[in-house]
Amino acid sequence: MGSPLKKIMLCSSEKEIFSVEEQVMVQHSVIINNMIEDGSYNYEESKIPLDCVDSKTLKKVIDYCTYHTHHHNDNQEDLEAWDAQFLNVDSNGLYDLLMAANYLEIRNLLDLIYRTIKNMIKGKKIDEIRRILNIKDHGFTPEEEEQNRKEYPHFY
Amino acid sequence: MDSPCDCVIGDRDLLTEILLRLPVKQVIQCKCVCKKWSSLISNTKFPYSHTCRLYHKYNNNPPPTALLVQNFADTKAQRASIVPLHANDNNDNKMFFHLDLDGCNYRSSIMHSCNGLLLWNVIPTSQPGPTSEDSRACHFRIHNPAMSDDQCVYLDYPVGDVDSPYGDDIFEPFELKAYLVFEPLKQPLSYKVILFGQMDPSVRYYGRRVEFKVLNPRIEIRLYSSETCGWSEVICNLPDGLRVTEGVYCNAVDDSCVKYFGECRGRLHLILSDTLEFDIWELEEDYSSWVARYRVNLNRMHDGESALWWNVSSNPFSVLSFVHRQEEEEENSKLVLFKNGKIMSYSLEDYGLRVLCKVYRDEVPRSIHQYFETLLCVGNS
Repeated sequence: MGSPLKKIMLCSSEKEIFSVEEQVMVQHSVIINNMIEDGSYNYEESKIPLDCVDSKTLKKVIDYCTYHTHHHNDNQEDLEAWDAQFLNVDSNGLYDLLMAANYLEIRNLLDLIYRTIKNMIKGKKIDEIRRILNIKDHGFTPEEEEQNRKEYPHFY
Repeated sequence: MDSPCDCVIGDRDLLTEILLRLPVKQVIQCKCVCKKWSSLISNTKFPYSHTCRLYHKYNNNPPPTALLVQNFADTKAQRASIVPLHANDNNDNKMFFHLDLDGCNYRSSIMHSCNGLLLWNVIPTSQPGPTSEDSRACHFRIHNPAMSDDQCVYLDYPVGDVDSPYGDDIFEPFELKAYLVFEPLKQPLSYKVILFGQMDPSVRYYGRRVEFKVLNPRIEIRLYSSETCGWSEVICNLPDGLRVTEGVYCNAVDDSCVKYFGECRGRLHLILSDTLEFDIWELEEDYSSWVARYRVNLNRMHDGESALWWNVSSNPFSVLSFVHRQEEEEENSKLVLFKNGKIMSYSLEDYGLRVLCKVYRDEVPRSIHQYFETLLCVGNS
């Protein structure tokens, strides 16, 4: 664990530099925690390049980690309300966040996003799921698709 | 370049994480979304991971999602209803499923439900004739009602010892109890069946002399293990005159006081009452003693509708089941009650009474089992 006042630098795919309290990232991101622990991060010179995370998404991720570090004692309801507000983004924004959380291994953010996507498709019929997730090519032959529709009409 | 959506849905690991969070019924439906999802869900690892997740979430004892209700008086005895216990998956509130029984030549009843699998006792309605090669004698079937019927396992009754005075065709199909033991987290998947059966003596020849033996019916215990694919006898001393159909003996209290005896999430429960007050007893985890967990007074009850209409001097409810929930879980512990053709749940927390389904007859359904959905099957497919 690093000291709470230390800062680290994160670099987005647009080469924009974000300075974050080390503690915030270490607590949430398994990857950054490992980098700090094994000493591969040099406080004087290093910045952590995150080539697959754009600035907009990285800012969101940092917001999430910062809030949850400083408010982890808040009651569950308030945190959930904040999370819901936080994830009030369009679906591309949500998927970008998921990729970033996956890359940085931020477990509670990952879980939050998985649950959100699950809730988007829970209770939905197949045609709706395909539309929501933009699945155009289902890969079934026309015969297979017809067979499924005949056998399980209530799924569609 | 792929859109962010394609990246997520195209990533097998990320997609798996999302699908693992869906309930069993929808996972099965999702097989039809696209080929890729179908192959992911059909992978043998998926059902196991899905089950592990659920068990982990509930501390290895996931709560039942529904009750299985089978009424023997129903002319379609092969039929059982799945009655969901939660308000939110309340579509039509009553679903039937059938055991595919190759025509109507069998009578079947659910013997036991264990972690998502059901054990049926299947009895032919007529003697199998020599011409019908497909017909089988009395047997058990084990299947997962959430999955397709072709993954059903057939299990013949144990065969007795030909030298025994009880003959080799020993167990009375209507005088037996059978229980299924299935531990979903144990790999490779296996199961056991425990059979308590009554044997009736038959007249047999001994040596050259014909000797008539008059013996009392007696109870024997047999154990089937899928690992050894065979039945074995369990030797133990059972009191004479014991019958498999008998109820609960409890400190010499009047039989009619025992309202319910059953298991939920690894704990045994016993409900005693002679008035509108119920005492719910629970057996300690180490089997050392019974502890009174709840005292329920059915006078404290609201149904959100009109006033309730029963004679307070007697208890008009039958207890079908008790569903135990931990304090930190979202749902409350519930009694499932029956009255006037309605199956109702009664919350021990807020005293709310809610109708789960109507069965259109006053007779108390006799076969009630708690049911958990799972993607696991023991049959080959």
